[in-house]
Amino acid sequence: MGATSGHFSGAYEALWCRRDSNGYPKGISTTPDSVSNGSTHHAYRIPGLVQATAPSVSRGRVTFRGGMKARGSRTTGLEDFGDFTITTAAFDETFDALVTGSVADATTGGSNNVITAPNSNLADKPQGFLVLTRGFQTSDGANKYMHWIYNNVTLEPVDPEVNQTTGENPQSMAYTVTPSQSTRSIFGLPLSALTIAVEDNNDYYIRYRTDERIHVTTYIDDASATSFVVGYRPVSSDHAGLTNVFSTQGAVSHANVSGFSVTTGATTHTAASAGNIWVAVYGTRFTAI
Amino acid sequence: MRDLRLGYGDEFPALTVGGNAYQRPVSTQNIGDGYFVALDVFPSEDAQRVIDELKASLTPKKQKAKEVNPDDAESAGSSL
Repeated sequence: MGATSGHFSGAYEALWCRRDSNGYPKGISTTPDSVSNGSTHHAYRIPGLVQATAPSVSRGRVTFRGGMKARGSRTTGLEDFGDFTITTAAFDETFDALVTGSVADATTGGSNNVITAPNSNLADKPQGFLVLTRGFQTSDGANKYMHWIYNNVTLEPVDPEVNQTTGENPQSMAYTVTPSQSTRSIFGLPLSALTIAVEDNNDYYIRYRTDERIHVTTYIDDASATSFVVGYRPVSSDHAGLTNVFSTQGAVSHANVSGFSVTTGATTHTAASAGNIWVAVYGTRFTAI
Repeated sequence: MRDLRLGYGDEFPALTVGGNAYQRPVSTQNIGDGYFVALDVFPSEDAQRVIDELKASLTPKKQKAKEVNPDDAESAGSSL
């Protein structure tokens, strides 16, 4: 199915994962630049996405006027992509600690309790990918999903007010999202390897239309294992590039994958060199394995 | 009896490296010959030492398992 048109609706999923200094997704590793060979890392599923505001993009414009006439105008490019806010019904202590670069302390305050903090003095919050999934119905009536995949974001918590309000989500949690650009996509592939023809092969986000919701697993090759297990059951066993995407070290690697189990989530693949980064972006309904 | 922090094949361990219960998906680390461990979201400072100890503990056990049933790696794993 090629490019099509359709209509958006809903806020289905939000995923977050760290990115390393080369732009590869690295799950929830707190040390994305030093993960061990043979390790597997999964994107974090943020519970209860309520909404995400639109980015406050500003672009420059010059107008020409003389002799009492408008003589034209010219756009002068992006001035600021701006930030936006995501709101979640739930406050997730693990997610909050991951995006603020802190730790959810489940020991010191009592083993039944947890301490978290906003890490206010950390200037550079952990950088990661953010995937926001909304519904998409094609003009022919087929239901699909459209993912806004931000290539490089930081998040800052915005705590809810304390109130006595009743009704829906009276004290929802919010995060200010500050996007930056990246030359690499969540597939592990550089933007130059996608045929999207963006200027400088660098951008803030990509959109990805799929039949199913998606999840992301990264595996660091140990040069011996011929299987790794993704986070949730994939809907399809495809490993030939129909709907699931496998990459190794920044290149499409479907030829090196010979199996993908819809029950165990295990791949069967040819081991690559130690340290090579595998990324699997696959359709799922988030059924636990 | 296999250490509850050790997984083998497609059988996940009961506990993380830090001895904590967890829900999947969970980050994992291969430690050789089909064995792996589940990583804590916030690993303790001695996590790598524990992983190294678990890895070291496998060597004699793997040898023993192979002596019992050299053709059945999975049964060897579950017997530890």
